[in-house]
This record gives sequence, C-alpha cells and structure tokens, in this order.
Amino acid sequence: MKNFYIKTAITNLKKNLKLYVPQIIASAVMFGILYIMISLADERALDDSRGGNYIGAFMIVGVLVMGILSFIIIFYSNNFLMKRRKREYGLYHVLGLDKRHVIKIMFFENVISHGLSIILGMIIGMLFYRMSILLIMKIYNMELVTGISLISFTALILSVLLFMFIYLSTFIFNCISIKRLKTTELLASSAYGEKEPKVKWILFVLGLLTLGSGYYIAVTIQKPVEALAFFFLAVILVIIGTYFLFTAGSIFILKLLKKNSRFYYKPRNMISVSGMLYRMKQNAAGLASIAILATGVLIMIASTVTLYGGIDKTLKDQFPHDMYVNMWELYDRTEEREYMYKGGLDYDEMKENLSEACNRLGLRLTMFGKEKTLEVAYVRNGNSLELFSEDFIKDEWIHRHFEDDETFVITFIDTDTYKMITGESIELSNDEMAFGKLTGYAWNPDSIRIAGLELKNVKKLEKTPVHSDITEVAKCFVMVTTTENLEKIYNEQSERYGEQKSEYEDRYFADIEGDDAKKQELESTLIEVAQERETEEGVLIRINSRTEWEERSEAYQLNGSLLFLGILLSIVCFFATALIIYYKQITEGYDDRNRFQIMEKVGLAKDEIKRTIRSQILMIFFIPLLVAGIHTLMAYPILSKMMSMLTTTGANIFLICIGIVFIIFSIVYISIYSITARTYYRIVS
Amino acid sequence: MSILEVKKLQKIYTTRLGGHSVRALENVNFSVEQGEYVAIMGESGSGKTTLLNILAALDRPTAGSVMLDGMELTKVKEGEMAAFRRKNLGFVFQEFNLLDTFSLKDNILLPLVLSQYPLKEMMERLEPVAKAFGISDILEKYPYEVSGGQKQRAAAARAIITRPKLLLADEPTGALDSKSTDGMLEVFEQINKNGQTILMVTHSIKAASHAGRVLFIKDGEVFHQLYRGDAGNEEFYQKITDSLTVIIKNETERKEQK
Repeated sequence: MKNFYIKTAITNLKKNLKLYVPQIIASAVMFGILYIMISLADERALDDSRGGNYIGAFMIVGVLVMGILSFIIIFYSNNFLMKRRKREYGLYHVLGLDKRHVIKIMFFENVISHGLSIILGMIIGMLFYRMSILLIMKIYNMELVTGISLISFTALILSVLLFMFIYLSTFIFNCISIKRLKTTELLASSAYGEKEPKVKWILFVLGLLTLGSGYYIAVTIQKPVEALAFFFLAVILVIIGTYFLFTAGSIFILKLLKKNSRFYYKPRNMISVSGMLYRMKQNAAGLASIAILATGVLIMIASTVTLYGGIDKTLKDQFPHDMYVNMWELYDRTEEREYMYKGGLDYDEMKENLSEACNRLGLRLTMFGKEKTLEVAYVRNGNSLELFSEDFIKDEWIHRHFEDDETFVITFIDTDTYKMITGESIELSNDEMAFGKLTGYAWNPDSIRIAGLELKNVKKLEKTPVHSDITEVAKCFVMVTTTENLEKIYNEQSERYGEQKSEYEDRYFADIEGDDAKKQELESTLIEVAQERETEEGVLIRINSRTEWEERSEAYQLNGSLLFLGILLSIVCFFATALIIYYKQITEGYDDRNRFQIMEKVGLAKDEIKRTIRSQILMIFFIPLLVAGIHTLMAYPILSKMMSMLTTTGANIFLICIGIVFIIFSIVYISIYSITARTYYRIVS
Repeated sequence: MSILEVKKLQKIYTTRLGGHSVRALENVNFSVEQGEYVAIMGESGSGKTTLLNILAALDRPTAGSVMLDGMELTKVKEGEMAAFRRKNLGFVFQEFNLLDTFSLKDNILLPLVLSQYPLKEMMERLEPVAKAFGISDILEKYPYEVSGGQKQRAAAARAIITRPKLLLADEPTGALDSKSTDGMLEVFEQINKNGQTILMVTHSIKAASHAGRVLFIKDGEVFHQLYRGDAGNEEFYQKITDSLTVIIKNETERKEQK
C-alpha cells in the first residue's frame, strides 16, 4: 500500500513538473546560499587572516535575512502549488481516498520534491563555497588563504534544520487546508464570476500616508546620523505603503479610467482596463513583492558597489600622507607599574627612529614632517563663526551639538604647517586666509569673521591638506592662517571654553614607499627601534598611529564584506523574483484563456488578441520595475547621506551607479520576463 | 434577393496523420433570403455545427462556396476575417459567452468598441436594443449577477448591435429553462419582424417552430425542408414533428432493407 502512495506521488510530480521544477531550483539556490553563509561564518581559515571577523559578522546578519526570505518565498510557492492542485486532491477524495490518504500522497510528494531541493542545494553550496572564498579574497585584495575546509558540518546541519522547519510548517499548513476542503467546492469549476473589486478606501488612504511619509523621511532628512536611525523606519513605511497601494491604489486608478467613457470605450483600453482590474485584485501582493525585492536588489548593489569602488578616493582624501604618528615616553617611577607621562618624542628623534625602522624593513621614507593643528567648534552665523554660548558649554555632552545644522568644526593650521604638509608655500597677511572643506558639505565664503578678525579668503583649497576621519557627523573645514592669527583664535576659545578648550595638536606625518606586507610591520618595528635607542632605564615607548595601508585593508575588508553580502542577497532576490514572475505568468495564462477564446468568437482577430495580451502583460510586469525605480530614486537622498559617513565618493557618482545598476537589472528582468512569457503564450493559445 | 447562398459545400476532416477521413459535410446547398428566419435541424453528428462554423467563418470548407450578400466568404483573407465577421455577422451561442470581467453593457458594446465606433453612436445604438430586449435596468450588472435568460438576452443584444447582415444562433435556447426559452424565442421573432435575417441551428422543435422555414440536415446533406406558410406556431410545430417522424421511419425502413 505504501508503494501506491509513493508511486502516485511520483506520477503527480512528473505530471506537474512545470510547476515543481522552478520551486525546487529556487529552494536549492536559497539552501546553497544559506549553507555558504553559515560556512563562511564558521570558516577557521578566515579567522587567521585579518578581516575574517568582518565576513563572519556580516554573514550572521545575512543568515538572519536569508532565513526570513526563505520562509516567505517557500511559503509563497507552496501556496501557489496548493491552489493549483486543490482540484486534483479533491478528485482523489471523490474517487474514494480518505483525506488521510490524500495527505499521505501529498506527504510523499513533499518529501520527494523538498528532498531534491536539499540535495541540489547541498551540491550548489559545496561547489560554490570555494568560489565564494576566492571571490572574497579577490574583493579584499588579498592573497588566497590556505586550509579552507571542504565541508562545514555545522553549516550543513543548521541549514538542513532550518529548511526542515520551513518545510514542516508548509506541510502542516497544507494538511489544515486539505482537512478544510469541501469536495463539492473543489470540483465546481472555477468559472464562478468573481466580483468586481471595490476600492478599499482605508487601505488606499493608509497606503498613501505610509508611502508618503516614507518618501518624506527619505527625501528630507539632512543629518547623516539621523539618516542611519530613520532609514529602517522609512524602509518599513515604504514596504507597507507599496503593498497597500498595489492593492487599493491600482484599483482606484483603474476605476477612474473606467469611468472616463471616452478613454474606456476604445478597443485596447477596454480590454486592458477591465482585465487589469481583475488581475490587480489577484496579483497585487505578488507584484508588490516583486517591486520590493527589485528595490532591495537595486539599493544593495548600487550602494555596496559605490562604497567599494570609492575606497581609493576616500583614502586619498583622508590621508594626504601615508602615515600619521605620535610617540611618547612613559616613565615608571614607583616600579609598581604606575606609568607617568614623560614627554613626546621630538622632531629629530622621531625622524631618526622612523628612518631606522624603514631601513630595517627595506622601506623608503620619502617624506617626513610635523603638523600643528587646532580644532575648534563654532556656530556659523552668516559669514561669521561664533563660539558656543555659555549654556552650550555647561552641557556635559557638548559633542552632541556637533550635529546641529549650524555647527562648523574648523581645523586651523598656520602657513608653516601648510608648507610642511604640501610642499607649497603660501603668502598670507594678517587679514587673509585660505579655506577648504574636509567633508561633503560645501561652504566657501569670500571672507569670514572670527575671533574679532575679518579674514579674506584668498585661496580656495581644492585638496584636503590635513588628515581627517571622514565622518560627516559634523561639517568640517580647514583654515590656513598666519601664526599670529592662530594665536588669537586659540586665545579666544580658551577664554570662553575654559576646561573644555581645544589644544594644539602636534602630529608627525610621513610618506613611505615599499612592499605592502612590510608596511604592516612598521609600527611594531618603530617601537622596537625607539626602545633600543632609549638609554634611560624604566622608560616605555608608546605609539599612536594611523596609516593609509591599515585603513586601506580595513576598508577593503569592511566594504568588501558588504559587497559580498549584497551579491549573495541579490542572487536570492533574483531567484525569488523569477519564481514569482513565472508563477504569475502561469496563473495569468489560465485565467485569460477563456476570456480570449470568447473575444475571438465575438470578432477579435488572433493577432489583435496577441497584441492586447502583450500590452497587458507588459503593463502588469513592468509596473513593479517602474515602482522599484521610483523607490530607489526616493531612497537616493537618505542613502547618500548615510554613505557620506563612510565614503567621500560624491553623491552624483552614487546616482550614476544607481542608474547603471538599474539598467543592468532591467535587462535581466526583461529576460526573465520574456523567458517566462513563453509559458503564458503556450497556455493562452 | 438571397443574402446567403451555400453551394456544393463540402467539409472533410482528416486525422493528423492523414489516415482517416471524416465527411462532416457532403454536399450542402441552400439559400437564405433577406429578412428570412431559418432554422436548421439535425441530430448530433449531422454536421450542423460544422456548417455553422463555416458560415461563421471560424472554419474553412474543403470545397464549395458560401456567398454572403454577394461576397465569397471563402475568399476573405485571414487577416481581414475578424473585421469581416464583426461587420457582417452576429452570433448567439448556447453558453452565452459573455465576459465575466465586463458588465452587460460593456459586453453588448464590445463589438462596437472593437470596430471603433464613436462613443455617441455606441450609446445611441445601445438604448433601443436594450429596451427591445428588456434589459435596460440591468445593464450595469455583471453576467454572474443575472439569470440565464437575461444573459442570453444580453448575448443576443451584443449580436445584433452591429446590425449584422446575418444573425447566426447556435442552440440559443439550449441552456435555458422553458420560461426563458419562450421569452428568448419571442425576442428572436421580434427582431426578425424588424427585418433581421436569422439562421438558427437547433435540435429543439419548439425553437424551430418559431422560424419561417426549417431545413433538415442529415449525414452532411440538406435532406428536407419545410416552409411555415400561413401556419401558426403550434401548427408548424406539428408539421416539424411529422417530418421528423417520417425521417426516422424512413431510416428504420432503410436499415431493415439492408
């Protein structure tokens, strides 16, 4: 008897191959990617290499997202299959099988198809695992690590467990819906007229409100930190809005079109509008999902590619010189490991230490210098920069005002430092200065009033001369002025700010050429050298440095991991989109077959029918693409604000990147569409 | 003047591999005058559906000719066929064939919309037709909201709103209860009186008895025909029944002779 069920299940699967194959492939891909993500998080070989932590951390985020996505997508396809096959199950029931037996058949069908998905998924996961590590190393700009594990059993077990859980949930769901089936309902033809959809006003208004406020947040937000906080709120609002508007808004618009007799009673419009009314009712959720998945892909790829591609430019802006370093000595007086500050290394000591360290490593020191900077926060008022008021100063968290619109943080350097840094001398009188921006925010007035001085801007700086952390939390600028003026500026702020005043900061900088791997050892060698040269007993050398090469590998690993996660999730979204489109085409096809047969009898020519079909189907499937485009465009302002904290790549480059990604995505989307459209035509004609 | 002339019409279906051939129509000859109301009767398999499909230009004959108002139907090009059908022919089907996605009004207007009539003319035509068919009040309803009789009226309204040269009806009362059937047949009579030429295929004697002439088709040939003359509906009904009895009797005798 058991054989019977298995045999029936196999025949059923064979008969419905067209429905099951896409589901099996999509689940297998999701399984494979989930396996890869967990394996990467688990990979020992990556722990040894720097950056392993990043990929691991990002993959854990990825696993969470994947888990949710897999659950939704598998449930979606399961419901689709269930709907298509209800009649078949009903027929078994009529032919004398108990519901219990029908469930048994279904059970074996599920075991076989899901089993295939998992096996295929394992193969995909293991095949592509090595490739993904190769890809990650390529993205990281690093040598390939050795000792990559062949199989991660943790990943295998976890992935199987997750998918078993999802499959079990769908199975329980299916059992309940079979138990609830009424056979007569099942067998009755589905030709029941469907009520013309009504405009759901509440949904419509809610949709407008949520989408509107999501867009509003995205477009109006100005401060990068707020952008980060509000981004997810905006995303959720837009998702809700999209679903509601696809359901209610589309029907609202179509009804308006229908009311306009002059428009409506034209051959193509009439067929399309009435057809669309019914389609939108059934397809709103599916189409909204396509739109959201597509938006996700567009945003993920465009922003991760922009971040990744902008690494070099960002580093260049951030590091006018390769290395910024300070060293100082600590003196252990009590021999109880209570170190006291003794003093910083002076220019000559520093230079000698550094060139010695470079010699030992076979590196070349091409430039060495010292910069003296003063960083002060101001409130801008027109063209004058004013110090914070007393209230501000009393505020313990003065830093939180750094985000205020009119808070400007100025880094001052004198002409000597400027010459040291750039190698160019600049002649300034006491009523002159040079000015430039350090972050994306542009402001470059002809003159600035500060500390009782009126300084004329005689040179607008193009290149950033000083090193800065490019967080665009505050609006940062650099001003070059005379030593005398600098003193006045220092005095003004030290009087007002008292204990919270800013101090001059001395920092040595250097350009170093040579092998990248050797550069990584420079810091430790530098301490070694300094320690060796130290004659006094009990003195410890401390170092604080920021180097371009460390920043670079850090940036490649961070942004590279993001890019890789973006790629993986995009692949999943791509398959999900393809699956939904394919199933939609099938549903549409069966729905339309009768309609077009009648139209042919009433006197619509075959090729006219084809043309109408094409225009309708095009509309249906290209609305999500259009919506995704609009969403992405609306997300652009908030995204570029967020990204200004991570990269100095201009917003317009990001926009171009969005454009390119959108074009590529459209091409892919159109090809998915035209491949699946064939199924539709085959059903209709 | 004949509006429809069918001469030596033949239709042979061959199976795909060309092995077997079925003669659906052997040699059909008849003509229909302008303003006539003709019923074609025949058993299942007699070829009447094939005949109707050919008259409706949905199918092409193997040999012979069909002239509609002086135009050779078999010579209309494939590309112009749909427009030709829309312009010259009206259809009423057994299963109504109304579109669920359209209100009755839109269903009736569909052929006019397809022929791209101006909006004003569409509405002008709709009003009297809807009135004549007694469906003015339910025009905004959807097919699934009205009864079978009302659906068929809407379907008939759709068929004649283009003022076709010939109205073809395929078992128009087949799916209706007797009350709706009576109503429907009255409607047909009414529009025939207003000058509409009607060709109806049916195997219902009652439906046929409303026609002006009945053609009996058997084994792919027109076997016999009856004119109403001055007879009333009941009398004509009797005549048709008698003819059918004779036909069946002849057949039985022929079989016995064999």
